[in-house]
Amino acid sequence: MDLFLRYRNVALLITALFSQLALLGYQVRQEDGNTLLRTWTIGVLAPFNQALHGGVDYGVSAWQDYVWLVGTRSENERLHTELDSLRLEKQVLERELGRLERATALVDYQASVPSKTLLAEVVGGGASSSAREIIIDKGTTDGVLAGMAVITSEGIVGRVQAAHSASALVVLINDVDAAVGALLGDTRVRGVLRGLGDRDCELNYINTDVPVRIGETVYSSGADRIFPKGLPIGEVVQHDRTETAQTILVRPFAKLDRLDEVLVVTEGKHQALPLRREAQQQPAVLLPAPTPSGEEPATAEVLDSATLDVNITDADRIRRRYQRIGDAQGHVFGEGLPGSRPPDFNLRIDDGAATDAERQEP
Amino acid sequence: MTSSARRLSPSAFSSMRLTRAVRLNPLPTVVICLSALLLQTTLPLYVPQAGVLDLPLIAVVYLALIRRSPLIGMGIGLVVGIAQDGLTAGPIGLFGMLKTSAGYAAGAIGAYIEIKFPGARSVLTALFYLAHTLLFWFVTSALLGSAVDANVPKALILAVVHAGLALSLYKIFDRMSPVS
Repeated sequence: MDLFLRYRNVALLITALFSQLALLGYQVRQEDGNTLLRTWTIGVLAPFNQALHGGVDYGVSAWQDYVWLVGTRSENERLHTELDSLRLEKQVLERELGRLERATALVDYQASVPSKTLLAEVVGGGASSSAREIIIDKGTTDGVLAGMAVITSEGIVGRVQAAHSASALVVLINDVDAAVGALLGDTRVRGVLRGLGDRDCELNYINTDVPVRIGETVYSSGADRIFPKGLPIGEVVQHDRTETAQTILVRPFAKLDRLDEVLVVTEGKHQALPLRREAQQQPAVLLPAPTPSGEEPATAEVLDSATLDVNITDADRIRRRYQRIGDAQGHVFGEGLPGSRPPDFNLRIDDGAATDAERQEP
Repeated sequence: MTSSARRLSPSAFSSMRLTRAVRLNPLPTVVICLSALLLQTTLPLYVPQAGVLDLPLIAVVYLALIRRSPLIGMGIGLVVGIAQDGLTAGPIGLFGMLKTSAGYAAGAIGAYIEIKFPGARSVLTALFYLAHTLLFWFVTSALLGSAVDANVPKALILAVVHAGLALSLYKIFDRMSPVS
């Protein structure tokens, strides 16, 4: 009270001034339409208001994040469970997607091979740890029989060892008891591919004088009467030669340890092997067809691999010409009964599809 | 404590306060104030140059000095300033603040220093005019955000003019016997 009395005059002066200041602020309007009093009030109170608001927010945040944690543990467990479930679902979906892609590739391959095949899914492995076996979900009710070949789009897989009504046991080609008739892609030399119980197989019965190249493709030869001829098996990854024998290791193209879908060959057909490597890369000399006497003989020409069918002979040309004549008249050679009408072999056919070598009349 | 320090201490300063009773006669006081206000509004109609004068300020300073009380000076300044605001188109309170401050300061000065010499009162009036003008510029520009023609030489000249005018007016006011 004494303090007030002592500074009464100053206090009253300040009061009077501030009262009029407030009066000024009440009357004066700024460009935005607000009164000066409101602007001053906001300007003075805003920092305190912001500080108060920030403090309250901080307090609430601290309370919610550090103090009031009721239910956090259970929520954390629930979220962990949900996360595990979502991860599992993601894995399933990724697996299904991969399976779909592989199945699509297999279906495409299925349409490209001459053999009839049946799509099957691998549902299990063999019971023996030493044996290389798989179990597929197709059996005798689907037409799967023992001895049928099992392949993928990459190469051969194995053969059906035992067929049941709804499943079948397949012995892989890398099993120690498995054997496949095989031939080398470059030299066409035949041998027997045997499993080693490991990742690779061994190609046996190849003479020591046969050249073998690392990376050379090995095909099925069809000699085993199981796998159709011309299916790719694998490539040579190791080659040791001694005076008496060759040791050739072949790594199958098919991923035998990661099989999901396979094709069972229900009706196999041999297919042609691709051109030999040297024939693909080197030009060849081909003599012209013989000319009647008195005419000047033509000279030999050198043809590159792109335009040359190195295996063609006059007999081949005749056979292909007759084949086209039969196709043009819908005739299938070998099916006509004795006494039936033969095709017209004098039919003029369009030689547009024939190669230059075939157009040369024998 | 030295003698000079005693002279400057608050107790020594308060001992210098004039204790002689001074009382404003209401009628002369009201007449002086109303006259100043009326002249402030009507004189420029006949003499346009008179618009630069601040007659209410002269009246407030005079009354506050002779009353020798900051509170009374403040009150006079408050009333006269608000009335002056009411006679203008500006916001109420602008001249009220200025006159309140001037009346308070003049009353405070008059409470400690008896100023009978007309020249001294005239000089004080000039100083109050300058302070009033500076405060007017500050309030107008800083608080109200209005453009201000801060012409300092003009302000100094007007301060001298107000000092000269105060010499004449204060003699007239003294004859009205506003104090008893």
